[in-house]
Amino acid sequence: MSTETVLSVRNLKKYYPIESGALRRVTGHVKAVDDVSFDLARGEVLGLVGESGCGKTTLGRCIVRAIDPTGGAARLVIGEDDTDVDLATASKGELRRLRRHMNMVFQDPFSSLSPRMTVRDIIGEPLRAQGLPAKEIAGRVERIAELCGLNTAHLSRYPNAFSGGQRQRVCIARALISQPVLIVADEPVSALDVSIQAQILNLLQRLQRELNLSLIFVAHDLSVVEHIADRVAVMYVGKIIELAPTESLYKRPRHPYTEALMSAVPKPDPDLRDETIILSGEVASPANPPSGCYFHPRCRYASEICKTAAPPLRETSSGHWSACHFADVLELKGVEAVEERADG
Amino acid sequence: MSNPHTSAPETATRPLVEVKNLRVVLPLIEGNLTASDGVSFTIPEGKTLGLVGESGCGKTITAQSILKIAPRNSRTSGEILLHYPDRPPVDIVSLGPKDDELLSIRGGEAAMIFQEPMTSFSPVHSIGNQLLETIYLHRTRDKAKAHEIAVAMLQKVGIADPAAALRKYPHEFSGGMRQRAMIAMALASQPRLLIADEPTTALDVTVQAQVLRLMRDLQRDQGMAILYISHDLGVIARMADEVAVMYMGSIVEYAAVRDLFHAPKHPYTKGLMASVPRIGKKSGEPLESIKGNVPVPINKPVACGFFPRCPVAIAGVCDKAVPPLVDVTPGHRSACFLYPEVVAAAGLPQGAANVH
Repeated sequence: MSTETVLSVRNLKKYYPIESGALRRVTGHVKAVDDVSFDLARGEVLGLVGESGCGKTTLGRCIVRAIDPTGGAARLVIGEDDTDVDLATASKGELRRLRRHMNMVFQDPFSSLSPRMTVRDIIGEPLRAQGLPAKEIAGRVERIAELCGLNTAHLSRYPNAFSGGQRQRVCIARALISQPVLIVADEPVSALDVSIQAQILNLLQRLQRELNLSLIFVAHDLSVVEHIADRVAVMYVGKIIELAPTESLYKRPRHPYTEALMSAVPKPDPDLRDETIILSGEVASPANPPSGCYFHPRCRYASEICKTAAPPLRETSSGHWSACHFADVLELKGVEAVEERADG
Repeated sequence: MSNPHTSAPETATRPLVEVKNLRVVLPLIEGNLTASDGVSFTIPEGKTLGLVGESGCGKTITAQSILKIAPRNSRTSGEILLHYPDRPPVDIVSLGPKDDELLSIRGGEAAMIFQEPMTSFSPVHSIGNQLLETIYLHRTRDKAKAHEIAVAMLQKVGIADPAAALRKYPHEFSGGMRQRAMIAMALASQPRLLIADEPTTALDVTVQAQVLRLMRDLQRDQGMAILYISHDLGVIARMADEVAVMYMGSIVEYAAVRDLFHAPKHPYTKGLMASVPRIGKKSGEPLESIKGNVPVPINKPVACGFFPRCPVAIAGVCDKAVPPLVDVTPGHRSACFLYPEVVAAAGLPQGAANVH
């Protein structure tokens, strides 16, 4: 993995106005994504985790401009001459040109494929949008389909003839055909059966390595993210609260929320004692977040300062970023200690 | 009726539910879908049986059969015996749809919680109304007393300010709270069996952790047995005493939870366990996966259902006969011709499967 930055996200925001009354006056904002910054290197896989409503999907969609961010920048390096363009502010016309450099894979392979198009047409659609000649499209469709484990016979069929796993292969082929530098995969394996999940994860990982893709992998499943990601960002109420190399994050998290999240993952070993840290209360509302650190009402380490001052995301050790006032002093528990016993 | 039961690993406790050779067939246009194909298991009193499998393996329809809520056009045969401490067992399969006995079992002796708490509540009735309905039906007709029970139940499942919560509607609750209310409703009748069909699949991990712990605490307090259905091996490892793994309508492996996780016997179970990434074990290597797709059991051939995907299948054996589910080590059942006990039980000559 090189350290050449492909995507640099700076202070990205997505606020949804809350309107009330007959005049639809704006009375507040839901801060779905709130001031998020990070860099993504060429060929790097960044896992984006968090619970429902934390803004991970919105962040992914803002980056590829499936929705328009409220503010901030997302600069993508493209082309032979490494020009960088700001995706966040690009105009509609510019975006049309830029689309082929970035693409998405969605969670539900049943609703993200048109039932009225053949698989061949679905996969070739991004190239048709670029106005490439039909002959070239046909050749490239077949090549990418093969790479994704689909055969020629599959191409003339309609999506309804396929199972979830095969449909997800079609989605991946469609996302890759325009040779993008950046893929945002939003929960690409969550809707699949366990035995099929592994096939699709392996496929994604192989293609990512072969094509040196930069991948943002959005998921709620911490085991899956650990498997595929080089670095992981944990989100809570619209903000990144921890960002670190995968091993470092799982071995020794530096934010209490990450610790609780990891402890809650049920491990497939009946001998392990249940050491789940049960969080009290509910996830804070992004429309009306608590003062100070958003996590303080549920944090078992919280002290006075957490109620008043919002901790910034800062580098606590090389490459390991945490937004906790006590990141340096807390001895938080990762997952490794627990798993070792299972081997014995 | 107290002859020693032959299904399930032996347990010291008495059986609460015995399912014997359950077969549920759904006639479809494409053919007959065998949702449950000769399934037998026993749930002992106060214990948890985990039922694992992927979509379409028949785990939900098997559970629905216990309450007789499987789709109306399905054809069911076999026996589902519900045992009572003071009278002979009742065969649920033989009960008519309007039978008083069935109505007292449904929601009374046995209650069910579902995956989607939003769709299992009525949106136009308050939580209190829905909870009280169960209590009136199965516990008491006394209004004040019923209200008391409802408040106590909500308190038990950890809902703050239960009296106010009774007046709320399901949409005012978060997902975790709705699932808690669902559990309160199921347990309000003090059932002896709780059927939980993927109850935490729609929830976030931290909320899932709360609900799992709650269910285990309630089981300790109330002593009910649980049939826990899930596709998540981690959840099953945490919740179950015994586990049955289903594939294409049949149980392919059945063992105590520790035996199953430490020494899986069936190639499908092994494949399933190898294909989930384990947290804390990043290897960088590709995962082991099971080839092919999850099949639909329409017009099932006389063969091992896993044969087309099995990495160790024996041609000429596995595609010609159905492997019976028998003990391959004491108390550990597996339906796979790799084991001589299975070959013998199928009536095949020993050595028929010794091609390895």
